[in-house]
Amino acid sequence: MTETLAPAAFEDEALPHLDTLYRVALRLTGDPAAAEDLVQDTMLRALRGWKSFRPGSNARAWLVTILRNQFINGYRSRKRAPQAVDMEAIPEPPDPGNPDPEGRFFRELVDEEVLAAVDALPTDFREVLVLSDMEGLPYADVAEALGIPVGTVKSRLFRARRILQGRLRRYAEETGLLPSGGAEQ
Amino acid sequence: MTGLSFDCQAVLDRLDAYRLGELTPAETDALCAHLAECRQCLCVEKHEQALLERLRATCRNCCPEELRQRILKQCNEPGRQGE
Repeated sequence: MTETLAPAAFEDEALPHLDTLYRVALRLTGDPAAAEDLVQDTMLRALRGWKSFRPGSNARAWLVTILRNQFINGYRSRKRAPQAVDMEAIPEPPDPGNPDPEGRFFRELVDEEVLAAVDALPTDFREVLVLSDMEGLPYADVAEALGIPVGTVKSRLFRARRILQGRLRRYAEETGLLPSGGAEQ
Repeated sequence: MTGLSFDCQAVLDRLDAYRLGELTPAETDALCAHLAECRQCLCVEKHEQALLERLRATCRNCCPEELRQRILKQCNEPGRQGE
């Protein structure tokens, strides 16, 4: 027999994750108004499907799964086309001979620059990076939310970080935070 | 002395587990010993750590209050749940 939660539990279980859902939606859609619509639709769907939520399971991962499905089914097709990933384009790791071997330049970047680089990642990579590195979800929860194996989460995360590092290094060079051509080998 | 040692690939594969404190003491020792000698892996580790810190420090947008109120209202509408 499947245990179900009392109706009032929805607010206790789901509403504490609104900030996470909004930030994830913002990074997926790239637009505050679309993010609000996506979160509202997600919560409505979650509310309607609350009886299917298993008590004791991970509400955050469950909600992120719904949000992502909503995004794929509606918002992505309208707002952003899926981006193909050129595996050859993944930058090489930083070289110890570069002028900033500790990556101090990352601290000099402003939020808008970092977020623009995140938003420019292909969707498959962006979503694992946002959920894991920005929202702090454990690998297992990211895997559950995205419906992929933990190993795939790790490999996408590796590539996402590498691409992001390369883009931010390039940006830092272009803006003079790093000597041109010095950080990327 | 455990005798455990890691090459570059083994270290790079374990950096996340190292940061999360999921390695055994012997694995942690082996990883740190490698980082102490390999400037390439140390540089990768430093850059990853710097990137992660930067990402975590990036602005933490909160759900707009108006949206939160709309959703709360939605939750309290009769017949919404499990309809």
